[in-house]
Amino acid sequence: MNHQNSRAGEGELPSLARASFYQFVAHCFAYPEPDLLDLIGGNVTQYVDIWTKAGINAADEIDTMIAWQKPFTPEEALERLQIEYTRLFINTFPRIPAPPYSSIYLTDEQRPGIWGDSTAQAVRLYEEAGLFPSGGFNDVPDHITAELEFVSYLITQQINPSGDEDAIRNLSRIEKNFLEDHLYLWTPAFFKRVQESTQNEFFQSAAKLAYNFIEWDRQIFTSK
Amino acid sequence: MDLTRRNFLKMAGITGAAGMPILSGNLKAFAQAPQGGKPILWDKTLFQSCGICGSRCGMIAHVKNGRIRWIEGNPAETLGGDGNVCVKGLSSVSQLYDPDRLKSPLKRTNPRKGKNEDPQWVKISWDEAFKTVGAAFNKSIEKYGPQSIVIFSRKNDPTVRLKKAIGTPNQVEHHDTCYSSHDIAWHVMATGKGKGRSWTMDIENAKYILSFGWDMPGKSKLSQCIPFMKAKEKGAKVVVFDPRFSFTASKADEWFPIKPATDLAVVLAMINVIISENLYDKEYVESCTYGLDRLAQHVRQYTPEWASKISEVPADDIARIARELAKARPAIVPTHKRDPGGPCYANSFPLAQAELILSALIGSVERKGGFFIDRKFKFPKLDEFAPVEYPKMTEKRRIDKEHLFPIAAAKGVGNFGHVAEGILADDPYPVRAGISLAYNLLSFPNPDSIEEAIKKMDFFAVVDIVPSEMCQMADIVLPETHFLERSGFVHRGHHAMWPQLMLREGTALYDGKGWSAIASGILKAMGKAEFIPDWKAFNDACLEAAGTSIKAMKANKGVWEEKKDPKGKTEFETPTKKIELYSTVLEKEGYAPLPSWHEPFVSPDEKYPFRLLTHHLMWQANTKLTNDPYLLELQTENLLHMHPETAEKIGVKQGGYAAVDGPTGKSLKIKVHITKGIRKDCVMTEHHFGHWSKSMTVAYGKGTNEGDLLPERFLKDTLKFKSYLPCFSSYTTDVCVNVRKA
Repeated sequence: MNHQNSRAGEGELPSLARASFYQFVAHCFAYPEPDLLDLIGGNVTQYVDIWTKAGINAADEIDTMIAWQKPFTPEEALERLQIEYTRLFINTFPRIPAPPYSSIYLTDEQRPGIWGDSTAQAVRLYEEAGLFPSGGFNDVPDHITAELEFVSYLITQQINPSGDEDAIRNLSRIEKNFLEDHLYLWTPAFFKRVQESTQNEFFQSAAKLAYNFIEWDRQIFTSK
Repeated sequence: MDLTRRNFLKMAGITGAAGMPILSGNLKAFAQAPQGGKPILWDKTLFQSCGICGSRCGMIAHVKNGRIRWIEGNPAETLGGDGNVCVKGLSSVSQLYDPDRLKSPLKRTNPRKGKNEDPQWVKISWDEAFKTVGAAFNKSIEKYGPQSIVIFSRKNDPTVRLKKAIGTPNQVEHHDTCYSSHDIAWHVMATGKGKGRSWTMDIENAKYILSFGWDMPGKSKLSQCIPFMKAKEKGAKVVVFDPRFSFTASKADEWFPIKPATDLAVVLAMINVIISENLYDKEYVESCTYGLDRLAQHVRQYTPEWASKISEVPADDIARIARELAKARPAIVPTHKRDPGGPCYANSFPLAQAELILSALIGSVERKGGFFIDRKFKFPKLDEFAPVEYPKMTEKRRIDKEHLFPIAAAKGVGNFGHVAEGILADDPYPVRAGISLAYNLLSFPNPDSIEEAIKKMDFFAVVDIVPSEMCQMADIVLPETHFLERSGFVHRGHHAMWPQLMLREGTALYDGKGWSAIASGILKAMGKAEFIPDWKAFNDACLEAAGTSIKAMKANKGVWEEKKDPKGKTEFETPTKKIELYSTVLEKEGYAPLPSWHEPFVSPDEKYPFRLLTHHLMWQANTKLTNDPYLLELQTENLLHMHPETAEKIGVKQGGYAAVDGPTGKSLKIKVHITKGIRKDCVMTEHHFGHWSKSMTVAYGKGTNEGDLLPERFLKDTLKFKSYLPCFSSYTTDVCVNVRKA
């Protein structure tokens, strides 16, 4: 991972890179739809450029994800991803190997369950930012995609030119809390578990890429 | 490329649908304003009513930091839990937050079905799920007729709507494994008009409690357990007949280890004693019953001495207990289900009849301290509230052959025991599509056959809350909301001394739907939207009929009731308007109008010297809760209870393993528990175990399913008892086994 240029872009480059990266990872860990494959096979390369410029090299993992799709038709590829996603994160046997909720990883309980204190922690921060779990989401609020999407939102709102100083400062504070006291604490373990739980190279790469990104982000964020 | 913000924004715009809505603010998981999102309940108390057993105990759920932390009873609800909740109810919280719960509709992509087959599920939308179910049902109707669809579900409004809108006779319940004999005995002798057994007993006010295998206190059925303890506190005498020392026996004054399947002999003898010694409640019998003379003549042959030889209970005790029972007023002979009268044995139905006769003779039906017919609010009937024109149901025969038993068929709930046989043989016609609501394979008396029957079907949908064995057989899995996620109201069923409603408040964690919404979605997808009632309006109409509303219930501590002690009925829904000791209804349909002694279907012999008794653990409810790690901790596998002499004979020690060989040819290895509290000719094990769905990550592989030892009950066998069996029973305790060291 090349960190030399982490300060390369002045001003917004790191923010844009971070926002887009968080959004990208959220997309990878949402239930696979056709637009995911379109993205991987298409415009993602432009984002890879931005990320590279900001100092994150994701090219290898993206290449693997593109290569994985090649032998299949789009329909076949999508179904394989959906089956694997369901197996990893929704329902299967012996157990879903990587429940994608913070409460599974941030608890002392011997048998982690859904809706722990970490879930409440996340939701309170969502509320402070003026967001509420959407009726259409139909899952527990500390789901990985929700949390990643949240961070992406926070970052983009802060580079919004119409936002006032106080609002931006507030968002910045929320971002700091959310990342340092919550997201950074569980997502590395989650992404590691995903890598260990799947032989599907698409998800392996996505998890590896995500793991590396979070590490990079933690360094860049905490050094601000 | 020189990267500027403008370029970047432009790029984001260019990517359009194939890009990421990074800067457009299109969030998937969030809404901007509270109105668009799901509000989180931070710290709140919610009213609820337990959905685990029929006691439906009122609950108060305490939400802290967004999550239900603990549940307690609702003291305003005094008929069920009376302010208490049992361990099963408490465990429902961990089930609610179980990571293995079903979260969204699933479709199997692996067409092979079986114990070791991974369905390879994919998540689908409700839209797709409904479309698939609808299309599959329509296809089956087109090819084989509406009767080709089977609905495994308890009777409820959405189920009946779905059934009638499709035009199939096949709504199938667990009647025969659970409550058919008591249900039909009450139906013919007292309650009539499609209604069945009473679920209401005023045990609290009984001075004498005579139990033939009734052990509801041992099942923590609070609506019976609490009144039982209150009766004891008031000094009631308790006598228990049970081949094993049950929990209720442990609270009794006297326990008789009666020979299994012979309770009928004892009850008949007691009836004889009470009549011949003129101990019956004359005023009651004269005004409220029919047929005493013929009954008296019939039971003369059943003496205590005769009963003693059969049951191994001393004759003097039989006579004495009968006298005590008759003289102690009020007295009660409590029954529920899965006691010997219902429907564990082939001779359970005459026992159920005899127990009701006994209850009538001592004046305990519709009297204080006895049985009451459930009191309910008079709700509008759905078909009157939302009238529709159903398709004519041309096929009246049922896949479970219940149509051969017209009295039972009038209840319309079918039986589990003969479904597989019918489906596998296309007899009387093909059944090729189906849906199951909240039932598991392991609850069928013949799980292997049902598995084969489902495999034979072209399509099978399953509605459940956890990925059970039934889900593994499904083409489409539909997640139902957990009861703690449901909002609305529930009508008291058990111990309905007066009409009572309980409030439910909850929100769904995932993408589950209630059964009425699911049934509606299926109807719509089938092109039968005209059959979908306005459920909300109907529920409101029911509340209005009860004189209340959700708001009023909430203000009234989550309960709405017309609290008053029931006034005893003196007229009953039978042709003679009385409790028919001599059943004219049975006589009309060609069945024995009076209960007679019938030998047990099986008896221990040289090859299978032990009768296999089964029971339910106090902290488990069928197979619903076995995936709960805390409950499983209490007992991780089923045990084989046996007498010390048995253990010595076969050479096993406490905690060792025994092999149990059954007439099915299967053999189970079960851990031994030695106790004097069981007859020497019996062994006993618990239901709930032997899960083979690996999705049941906690329960999988724990213990064995005693159902594997039960021989299938084929129609030709059941018909042998037709002269005295107006309804099916799966007679699951009519099995004898051999036990040896493993």
